[in-house]
Amino acid sequence: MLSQSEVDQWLAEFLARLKDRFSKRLVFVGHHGSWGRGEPRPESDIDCMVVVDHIEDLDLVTFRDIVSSMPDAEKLGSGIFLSVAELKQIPRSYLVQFFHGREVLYGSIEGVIAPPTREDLIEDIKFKADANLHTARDYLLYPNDLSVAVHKLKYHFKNCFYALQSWSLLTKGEFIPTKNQILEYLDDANDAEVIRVARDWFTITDDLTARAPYYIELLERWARGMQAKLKAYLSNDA
Amino acid sequence: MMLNQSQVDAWLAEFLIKLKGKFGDRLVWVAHHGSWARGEPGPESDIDCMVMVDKIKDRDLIAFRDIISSMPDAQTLASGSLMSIAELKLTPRIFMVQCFHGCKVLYGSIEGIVDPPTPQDLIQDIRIKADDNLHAARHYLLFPHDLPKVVHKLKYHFKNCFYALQWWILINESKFIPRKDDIIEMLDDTDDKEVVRVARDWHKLEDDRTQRPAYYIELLERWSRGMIAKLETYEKIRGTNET
Repeated sequence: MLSQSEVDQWLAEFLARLKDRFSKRLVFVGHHGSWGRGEPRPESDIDCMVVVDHIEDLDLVTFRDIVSSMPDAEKLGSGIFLSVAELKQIPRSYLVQFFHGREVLYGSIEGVIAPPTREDLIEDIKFKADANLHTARDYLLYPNDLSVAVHKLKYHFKNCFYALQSWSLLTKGEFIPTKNQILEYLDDANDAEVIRVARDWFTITDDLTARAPYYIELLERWARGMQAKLKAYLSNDA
Repeated sequence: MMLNQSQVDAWLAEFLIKLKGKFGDRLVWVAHHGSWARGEPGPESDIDCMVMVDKIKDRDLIAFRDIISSMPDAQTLASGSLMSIAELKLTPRIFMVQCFHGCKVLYGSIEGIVDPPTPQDLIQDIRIKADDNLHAARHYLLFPHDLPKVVHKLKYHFKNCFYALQWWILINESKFIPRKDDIIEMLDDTDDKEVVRVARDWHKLEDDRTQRPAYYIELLERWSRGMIAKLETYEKIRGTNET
């Protein structure tokens, strides 16, 4: 497991190489993910968002060379590489992570795209609740080996966390970076439980297999509850 | 075992009778979509249905599961979604495309509950699919990965190219084209044709994917980049950039 200062050093080196190769074409470099949030796990990689002025085939090769020249690239390198035009075409509801809970290492995206609006946050929550509802129901309603299927739900539980982050931004104007912090703040039992599942995913592997329906039913109930909350919020608002 | 169309029709009729028997007046809408409805089933195709009821409580989930498991060959054939009216209204707008195009309505109606997709809804979905494909392809290409292994995970990404191009034709030519073969004929762009061909022939191409994975992943990356450029042009012409 790395220390924070080793991660900082890795990032500094990565940034130096990006600057060297892309120089003035480099627009923005941000660091997010579990190291950025201050809740890394032993298997956590280092997530970066890199934006350059435009991307051609050659730029992909250059970026790949930089990544593969980094120490422990196999284990640590992760993230996204985008042009300004591509960033502008990103679905607006995905923008939360570009504006919140990330550390800016270089440049700025202000002026390139506007931060997520209230409608973008609503759309983001809708998407995640809907996707989780359908996946959970698909497993529960159709014949599936639940003790196998449950292990595919890691990102679905992670998305509960992101949806609840957007929910807090929407309803309280507050961005809550870590799972432990958001746990203190939630009063709904299902909300708290899905966050715990996301946080402890790697330590509950055996329990996932042993009590698969519990977890899949939890995800289904959470998605239904999230939609009901959103509906109440929208009708209060109207 | 490959079914024929009349066996599929019989399966659907039985499914509908059971739904009506269990949910009665509470059943709002039943529609059949997917590869059988498009008329391009493969040997592994299941039978996709969207079922809408007035509301959903825990016991309705159990009732639905019981119906499914009572169907012939449920394990290999049954597939689809169950939703309440309130859930349909909160579903991302893009879900409406499959509710209004390319499905066969077996019962009821959703007119008056939700509006059909607008061109802006279609554009938004194309954007989501192109963006998602771009990230997946670049993730594999730019960071160290075992390409002959990971390339096989991209089935749904190529399928999403097909859907995105189907929406693109719907926006630009006001025609909904259900089948991949017909879409391929209508397209001019080489990458567009090629991604739909890959989606169509996915199972046959397994060995080739293992042999030259970079070809497929680079194709997906290039297609996404091209689709995003087309969206940019579309918005410039229409002046509909949301930002």
